Amino acid sequence: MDRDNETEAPDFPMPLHELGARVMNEVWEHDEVTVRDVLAAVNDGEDRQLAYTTIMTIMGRLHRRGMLSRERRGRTDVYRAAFSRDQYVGLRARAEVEALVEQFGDTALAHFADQVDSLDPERRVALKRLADRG
Amino acid sequence: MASARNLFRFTVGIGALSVLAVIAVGGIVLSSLSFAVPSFAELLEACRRLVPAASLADILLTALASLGLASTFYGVRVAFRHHRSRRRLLSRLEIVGQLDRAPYPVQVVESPQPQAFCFGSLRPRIYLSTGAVSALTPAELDAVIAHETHHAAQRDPLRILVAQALRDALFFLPVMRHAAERYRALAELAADEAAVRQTGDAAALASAMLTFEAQAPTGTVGIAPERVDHLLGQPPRWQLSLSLLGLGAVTLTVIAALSAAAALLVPAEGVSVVMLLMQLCALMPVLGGAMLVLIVRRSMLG
Repeated sequence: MDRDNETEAPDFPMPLHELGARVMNEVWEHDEVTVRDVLAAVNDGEDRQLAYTTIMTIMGRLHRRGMLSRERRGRTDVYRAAFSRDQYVGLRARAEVEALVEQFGDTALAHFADQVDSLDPERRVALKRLADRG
Repeated sequence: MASARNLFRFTVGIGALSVLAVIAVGGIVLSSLSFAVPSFAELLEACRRLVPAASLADILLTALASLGLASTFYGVRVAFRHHRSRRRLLSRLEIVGQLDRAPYPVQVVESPQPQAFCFGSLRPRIYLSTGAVSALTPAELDAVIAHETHHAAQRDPLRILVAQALRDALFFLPVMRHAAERYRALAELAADEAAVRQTGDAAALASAMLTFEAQAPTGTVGIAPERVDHLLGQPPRWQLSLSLLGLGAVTLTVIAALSAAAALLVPAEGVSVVMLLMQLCALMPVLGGAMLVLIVRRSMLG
C-alpha cells in the first residue's frame, strides 16, 4: 500500500536531518537521480561507507513523505525532487510558524499580525499609499 | 468603537442564554435521576438483555445528560488548555528589557522576528520583540504600541478567552464559532482605530503593517485584508450569518422542547442511574465491535 496520505501530515514538508539532508542535496544538484547515483555521491571520499539498502530506505521514505517523486524506468527507479530547494525553505518556514500557531493557538492573546497569509498586491499598494501620506 | 464591543455583548448575551439553557437541562436531568440501587437480580437481567430496554424518558435523559456533560467538559477544557499554553509561552519568552510607556509597561522579548502582542487575562501586558523594536521607526513603534494598548485597555485577551470558552461549551451552536472569530477580527479593527486616533493619522500604522509583512518569512504572518479596507474607510461589519443564527434559535428551541418532554415523561420515582448505566452493559458487544474495527483500521493505515 502506498502511503500517500502521509504527504498531508500537518508537519509538511518534513524537516530534514543529516542523511536525509545529504540525499536531498544530491537530488537538488541533479535533475534526476537513482539510488545508485546518490549512494556513489554520498560515499565518495568517506571512511564510513553506507550500504545500498540504507540509501534506498531513506529515499523510499522521502518519496512517501512527498519530498521525491518516483518513476520506474525499465528496472530502475528514477527520483526527482518534488520541489526546489528554495521552495522547500519557504514551505518549511511556513510549516514551522504553523506549528507554533498550533502550539500556542490555545492561548488567548491579541497579535499585531497573526494572519497566516500575505496581503494581495492591491491592498499592499493601498497600504503603501496610506503610509506615504504621513 | 461600538461595533466590536457590541458584538462581544451580543455574543456573551446569546452565550449566557444558552449556558442557562444547559444548566436548566442539567437541573432536569439531575432531578429526574434516582440514585436508589436496584436489586442484584434486576441488574443481572438488564445486563443479560442484548437489546437495551430503554424507555423514551431513558433515552431523552441520556441524550440531555450527554449534552450537559460534553458542554461542561469543552468549556472547562478551554480554560485548561489556555493555562497550559500560557505557561509554555511564558517559559519561552525571554524578557530582555522594558519600555516605560504609560499606562502599560511594554516588555521587550528576544526574537529576531517582528512581533507585538498583548497577553494576560487579568493583568494584560504588552510584549514587543527585539526584532520589532529594531525594525520599526519611532512613529511606527508608537502606532503599534497604541494598537496593543487598546487591546490591553479593553482586556481583549480575557474577552477572547471568554468567547473561546462559549464557542467550545456551546459546540452545538455553530454561530458561536463564527461570533468568536468575528470578535477577534473586529477587536483588531477597533485597536487599529485607536492607533490612528493616538498617532493622528493612518500613515504610521500603515507603514508599521508593511514593515511586519516585509520582515516576516513569506507567507507566515501578515495583516488581515479587512484591516486594510478598514483603514481605507470601510466601516466594520459583524457579518454574522443569519442562517447560522436561525439554526441556533432552532437548536435551542429543540433542546428546550426535549427537556420539557423529558420532564413530563419521567416517572414519579425517577429514572435509576444504575439501571441506565446497566443498559450500556447490553451495548458492550456493539461498542467492543466498533472499537475492534477502529483498531484494525488504524493499524492498517499505519
